Amino acid sequence: MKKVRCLLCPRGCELKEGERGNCRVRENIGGRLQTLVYGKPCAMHVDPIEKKPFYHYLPGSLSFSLATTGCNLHCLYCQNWDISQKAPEETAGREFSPAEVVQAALSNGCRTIACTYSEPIVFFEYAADIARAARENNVLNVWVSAGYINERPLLEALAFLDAIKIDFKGITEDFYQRVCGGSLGPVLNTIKTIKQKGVWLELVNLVVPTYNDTREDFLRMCDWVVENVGPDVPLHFSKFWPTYKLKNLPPTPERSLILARETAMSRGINYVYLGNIPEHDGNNTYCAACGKLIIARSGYAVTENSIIGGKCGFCGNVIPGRWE
Amino acid sequence: MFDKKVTRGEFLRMAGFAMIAAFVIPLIKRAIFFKSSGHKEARYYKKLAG
Repeated sequence: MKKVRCLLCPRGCELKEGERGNCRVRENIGGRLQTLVYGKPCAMHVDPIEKKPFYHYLPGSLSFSLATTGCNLHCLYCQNWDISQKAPEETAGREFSPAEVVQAALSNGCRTIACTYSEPIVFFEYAADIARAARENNVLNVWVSAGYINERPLLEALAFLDAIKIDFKGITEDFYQRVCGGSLGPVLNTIKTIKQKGVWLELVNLVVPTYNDTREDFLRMCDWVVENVGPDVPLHFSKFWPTYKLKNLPPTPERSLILARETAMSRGINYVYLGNIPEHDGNNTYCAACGKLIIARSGYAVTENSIIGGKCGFCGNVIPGRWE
Repeated sequence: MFDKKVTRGEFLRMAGFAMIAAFVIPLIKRAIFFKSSGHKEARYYKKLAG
């Protein structure tokens, strides 16, 4: 019996012949680990890049977004559980080669290709080939990921990625184990490594009532962010909506999100946003130097943009991000 | 309706449908999936001895 051990993520699944990894999309076939989802997306859509959310990366642009089934975490609140917690044979999809993905992005006027919705780590090989084809055609690559990955594949990914948004789900080991079925340490390492390698990074924390919504949670998270990746990494706090295995909880109250944002700003984080709350001041970008409104957003649409050459159009302060 | 006694035949029929739904249909889906598509060797794994 030929066993294999997957080395893609910290789970390190040891698989007998015919067994699949925890992610549901990698299987030991004949003593070789095979990805079951190469070229088989189950979701594809053109989205505004603000939906990922990326607020400091090519604002107002379109992103060709795709995903396969599977995920190496099992968050109780996953809004995409109907693909992330499914095996590939349980969903409808079509074959779509990396070259076809790039052509679709170009024909839809997309500046970026986003591997998103589920978890690009588990369709690593497909995402990597898409990225290489994209670069040959001047299309940029972004990931939306939970960051639960081993260092070697992470370093390879950072060589072909232009930006990455990490779901910074919580600041305690208990949260990661109880709610996500994973662990905190690898995610912290991922975030630090991304910053060290200079790939554009934004962080999102989904605020879940009774699980990670105390002032203590926000303080610990923000202090860690400032100390380890600096105050200029945009941090988004998003409103939770009851779904999947947490339908018993109420949506996140606005006061919790406001508390999160105020806490983050008081700890020195310069760019703090609120997600899933339309028409809120927390959707806008303010210059960290002069305090003027420099990007106004309505939903996912950019309604005003006063950034000129990557700088505040009022005081000339450099605004971190990629603007053109 | 809920007072109606389930006969042996009806029970076996329901159990049969349940077995089909729980086991046979997923096997058929899996077989169709594997037959219709090739797979690519994954990266970042190692073969274990023994």
